[in-house]
Amino acid sequence: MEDWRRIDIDAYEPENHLSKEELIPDLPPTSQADIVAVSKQVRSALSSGQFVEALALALDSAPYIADEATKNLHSETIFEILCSIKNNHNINDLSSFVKKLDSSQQDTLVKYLYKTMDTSYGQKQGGLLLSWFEKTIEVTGLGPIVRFMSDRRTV
Amino acid sequence: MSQSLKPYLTAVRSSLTAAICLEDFSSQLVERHNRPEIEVDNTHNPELILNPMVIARNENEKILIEPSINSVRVSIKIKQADEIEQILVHKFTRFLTSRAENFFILRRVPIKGYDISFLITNFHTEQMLKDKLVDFIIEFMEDVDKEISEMKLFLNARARVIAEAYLTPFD
Amino acid sequence: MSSPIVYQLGNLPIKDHVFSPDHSLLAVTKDNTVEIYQVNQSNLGVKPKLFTTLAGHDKTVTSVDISFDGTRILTCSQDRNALVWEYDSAAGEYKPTLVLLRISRAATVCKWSPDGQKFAVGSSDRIIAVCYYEQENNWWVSKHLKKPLKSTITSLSWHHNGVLLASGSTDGHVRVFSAFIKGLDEKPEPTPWGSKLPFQTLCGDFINETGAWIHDVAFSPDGNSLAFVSHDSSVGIIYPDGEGLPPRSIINVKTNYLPFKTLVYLTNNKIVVGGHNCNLIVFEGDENDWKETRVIESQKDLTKETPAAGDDDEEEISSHQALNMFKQMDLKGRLNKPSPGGNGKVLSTTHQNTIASIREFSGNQVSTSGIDGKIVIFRV
Repeated sequence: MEDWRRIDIDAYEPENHLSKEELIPDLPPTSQADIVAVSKQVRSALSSGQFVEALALALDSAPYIADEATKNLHSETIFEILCSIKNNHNINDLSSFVKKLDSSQQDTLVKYLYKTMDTSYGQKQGGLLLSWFEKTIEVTGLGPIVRFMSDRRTV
Repeated sequence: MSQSLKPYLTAVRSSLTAAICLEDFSSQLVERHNRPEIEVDNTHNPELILNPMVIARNENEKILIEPSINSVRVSIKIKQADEIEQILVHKFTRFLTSRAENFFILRRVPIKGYDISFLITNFHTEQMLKDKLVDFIIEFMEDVDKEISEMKLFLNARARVIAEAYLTPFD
Repeated sequence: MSSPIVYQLGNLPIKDHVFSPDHSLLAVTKDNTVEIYQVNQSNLGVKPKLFTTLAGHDKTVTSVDISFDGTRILTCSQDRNALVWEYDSAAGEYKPTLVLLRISRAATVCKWSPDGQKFAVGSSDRIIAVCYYEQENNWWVSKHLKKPLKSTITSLSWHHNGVLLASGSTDGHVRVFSAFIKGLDEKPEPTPWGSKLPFQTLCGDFINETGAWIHDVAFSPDGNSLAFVSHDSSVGIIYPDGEGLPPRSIINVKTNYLPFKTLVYLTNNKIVVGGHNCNLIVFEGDENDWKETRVIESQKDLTKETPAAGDDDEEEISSHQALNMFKQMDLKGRLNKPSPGGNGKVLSTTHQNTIASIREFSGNQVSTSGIDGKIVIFRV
């Protein structure tokens, strides 16, 4: 007989529990093509020196409902912007960039900082991400970190 | 303090401060139980787990913070540049974890891929002040690097003495 | 601004507290018991005297409430029970009455309805039990609000008409139910939340933008709006537009503090919140906009390390100093004892740990209880 001590009895009353799928917020999905288009716009903005615009655009079009590949693609785009801003400016100017973003863009920025720190290419550039993180938190306080943890709209 | 250590520790400090916002929470699944939700199977109540965060200084030094409603698991990967450091870190963390009951928040087994893990529950935050807990972990991270490199120096010095003793010809 | 009145009642966490309406009694939760204190009404500065301890639960008491006339004390606990305590003057002590909750998980929160005829108990069993008294058996029976709850109820709030009940839960939903008990309640006046209200009608279901846990909900004094605090450090206010219609406005004020645990809707235009940042924040506004207007106590920046107040007169032995001390002993056989301990580094706020509950004390005062075992009365 099956080991009845190990039967997952909670699985028999699914209507009593939330499932992972139910936690996914009810938002329109983003397709890969949209994100590719955004990354093109971002690159052209970067090449013409419009750093704040590029950053704001990328943060506003963050895909919440999309497959992993699309999400990763977008976080690479953001990483590219962060690198290019860092390479073209003094480290102390970063906070002025953060100040130009509105509060939901700042929240999204922190989400992407955490996300890229979890990737291998982000960890190679740990110093860059950490200085971005430090400057952002100096401007915003703890709020974006709390919202990173509790937000079900993951990036 | 080296240049990139400071932003790393600042990031860890603020992330920990935000993560350690715990409350008393009785299990939704098991009657009359109160268990750290981060440590148990959460297929049936995924809403109690928050998004985990990784803070990395580089590939070899990172910290994983996994928050939930009544507990936070903090796992640290300590820098290991060569084989000697690997052995030292292993011995050092083993020494600590085998004395886990004296450390309250220390977890006996680290999470896979990390060297040492802490488990902070709401009962710890009720008895201890939160910023003291955060300070403790930060201090631990600062000291462990220092400790390992110190041990490595001792080891090298000792190896040199031994080598000299062996190589001294008998008179 | 006058300084707050502080009562340090032991060191155990106080998860909930309540003053009786005439401020003569103070009930606080302490582990498995509830302690009743007598308060000196004429001079609040005097520390309350312990009057009696209500011991009837065998697990942590999560919530306590006193009915509007101050005669009945309601407690609920993680042992799945709720008890109604009444003072028996013949015996000179409080006697509990059983409540048939019929829940099989912890009870998390309990609230008397405004008229004291019934009460609601929220639980981790994804059930809200609405309880009323049954004369013939001398016990309290309950009816269950079940659907569509799928997660722990963290907070409850009664509308002043005693029929509408708001709940917040860990799935990030704020819901408004009808808790109309036939034969007990008068048919209520229509409100913006709805007019036809049989038991278990879901009058509103709102989800926070982030889907974070709701920690507390409260109806405004006029009952026409509902405020909630959630784990994403924000305060939300919902203004309904009538039955079946989407709400007229939902305002969400994001802040950069640690998450809030509890709130009190002081007037129709003023909310006071408190929580993990150990401080009280005042929000003011109306249907069009709400703003953070005031922080009650000044606060240090938690993202920075607090500079040690001069290393020589550091008050407490930190682990770092202890380590150095042993190193000195080991290497040099010398004992450099760090100066003996005191209270150590403390937060700049009155509460040293999370504020667990706020209650309205009087028109411009609120009382708070914290995990640090303090009851504080603030002027706001």
